[in-house]
Amino acid sequence: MSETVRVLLVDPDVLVRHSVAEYLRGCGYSVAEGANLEEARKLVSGGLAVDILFSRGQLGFELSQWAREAHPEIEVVLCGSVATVAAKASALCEEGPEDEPPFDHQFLLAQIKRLMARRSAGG
Amino acid sequence: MVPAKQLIDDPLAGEVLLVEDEPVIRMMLAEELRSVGLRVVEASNADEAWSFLQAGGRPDLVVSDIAMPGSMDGAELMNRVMTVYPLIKRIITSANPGARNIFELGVYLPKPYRLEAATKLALDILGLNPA
Repeated sequence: MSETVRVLLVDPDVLVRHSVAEYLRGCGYSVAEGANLEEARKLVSGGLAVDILFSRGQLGFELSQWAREAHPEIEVVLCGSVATVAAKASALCEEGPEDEPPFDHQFLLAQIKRLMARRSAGG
Repeated sequence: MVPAKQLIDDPLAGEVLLVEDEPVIRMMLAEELRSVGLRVVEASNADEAWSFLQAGGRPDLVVSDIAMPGSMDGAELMNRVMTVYPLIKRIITSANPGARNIFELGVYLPKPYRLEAATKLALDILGLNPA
């Protein structure tokens, strides 16, 4: 990756956000994290340059609408579910991780599912 | 003096759970911490941080602001961390610590702070700075 691509990853779930952000960092991207639309707005208005906005679900649609109106130069990657977040994160990493991250895409997906299942079970 | 950025060779040297509701401050400090080789988990409030810990996250250090939206503030988070995860080290930051005995919650880092100073404090607490 000759020029670092800047990703703004917005997800309300810290487990999903952190896992995907670390994966993308391992692939050589510069990743900023936001928990919601307001944080995304603050980061961009604070001077953060963003090439790709990455989000999911209803929040993703709201972010997409905001980005198209206020920042049409930003490309938006929308995912419908946690599973597609992992799959699309993997798709962004076309050349594979650069820094030997501690997991691959399949492991990431399994990890997210495990954590979400544990959380759903109240554990 | 050896620059902090040259100190950590091991990328798995330490993990920091950074809890800050102001995203620009959080992003800047997270990047500074990562630049010296620390791994950083970013939480936007105390509830998120607690969720991360409850899901099995085991950072070596929690750095938390006090005043944050949500069902608990940073002081309550630090109280819980002290009780449930006593081995996790703690830095508490605030511009207005108020009447609380903030020093019981962790090492106090007053706001505003310089990113380099905050990072050096984190490295000191983790025992990753040379004597």
